[in-house]
Amino acid sequence: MAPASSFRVIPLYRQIDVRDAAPDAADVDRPQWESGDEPVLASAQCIVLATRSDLHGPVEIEVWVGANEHRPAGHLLFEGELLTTGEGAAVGNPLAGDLHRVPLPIGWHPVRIYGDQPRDPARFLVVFDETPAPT
Amino acid sequence: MPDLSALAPSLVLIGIFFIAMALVGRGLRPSPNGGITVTTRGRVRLWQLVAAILVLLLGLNYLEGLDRPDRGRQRRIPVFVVDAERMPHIAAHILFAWKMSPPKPRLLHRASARQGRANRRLACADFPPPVQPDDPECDEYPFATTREGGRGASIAPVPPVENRRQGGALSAFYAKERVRVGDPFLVVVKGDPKRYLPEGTSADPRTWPR
Repeated sequence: MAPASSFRVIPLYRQIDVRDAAPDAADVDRPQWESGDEPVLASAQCIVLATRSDLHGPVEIEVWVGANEHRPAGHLLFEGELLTTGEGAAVGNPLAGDLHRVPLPIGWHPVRIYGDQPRDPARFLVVFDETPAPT
Repeated sequence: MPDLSALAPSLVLIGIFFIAMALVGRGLRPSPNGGITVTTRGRVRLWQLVAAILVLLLGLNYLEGLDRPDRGRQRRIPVFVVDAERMPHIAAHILFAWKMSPPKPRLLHRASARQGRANRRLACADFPPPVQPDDPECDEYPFATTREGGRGASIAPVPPVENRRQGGALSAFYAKERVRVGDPFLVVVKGDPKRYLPEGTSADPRTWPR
């Protein structure tokens, strides 16, 4: 099975979003940093991942959809659900204007996110369940 | 000069009426007994009727627009608040940049994503990339994501946690206030960063270790 997409993103402000690709970003409840040292923030429609400085260049992100049997190596950073409301998900850095679309049906999608290291990873693996969780 | 804007809806309505009448081949003229007579110019054609309906619809759409609460008002300029308590180094850096000669602007305009990435590269080209996770991060003012950013921006080393908070705040601000490319916004600093900087740290970013 191949990844749905694989890309490189400039991580301005040391962060990466995995979010609902709602047409109006104002509709997405983006969680805010408290200390700025948290590895992950999450709300219903947006997961924010801490990463390294953009001065080191882009970070690599691989997205898999429907890969339940996939057992990737790496450190589990997040395991939970993401709500998508019609346009699928978007992964990347919104301030760099670098968001990559992931087609997903409307619903709550179980998602696991791995990093190549527990703190400030430079490579991420995002694994979505294709079928939304039953509500 | 009297404000005639209040009369605009009535004038538009009268104008629409006459245009519609003309299009369907009708006119008005005073009648001998003091009233108004509707005059005709032959049979009304289908295209005339359709055109009259279109003109009426356009006019009604315009009139509806007149009632919109934001019409005639300039869009307010969104304000990005930098909280000195949460980001004392960044707040101190901004205050410093405002006092530079020439001072960096407080009114900024959002840049395109491409320009934002280029600005960041230009502004921080000479800044050493952090080696350890807690090493200082390059902070630039005006922000890289603005048209005023890039070459010539003031740069300062700030704690990476502040950089992340700033990014989160800016991202949320652009989304919530719907700040699009080219839109202006004002930057204000809330609080006195000197109160929140670590003890012994000067408010002058030139003294901060890289």
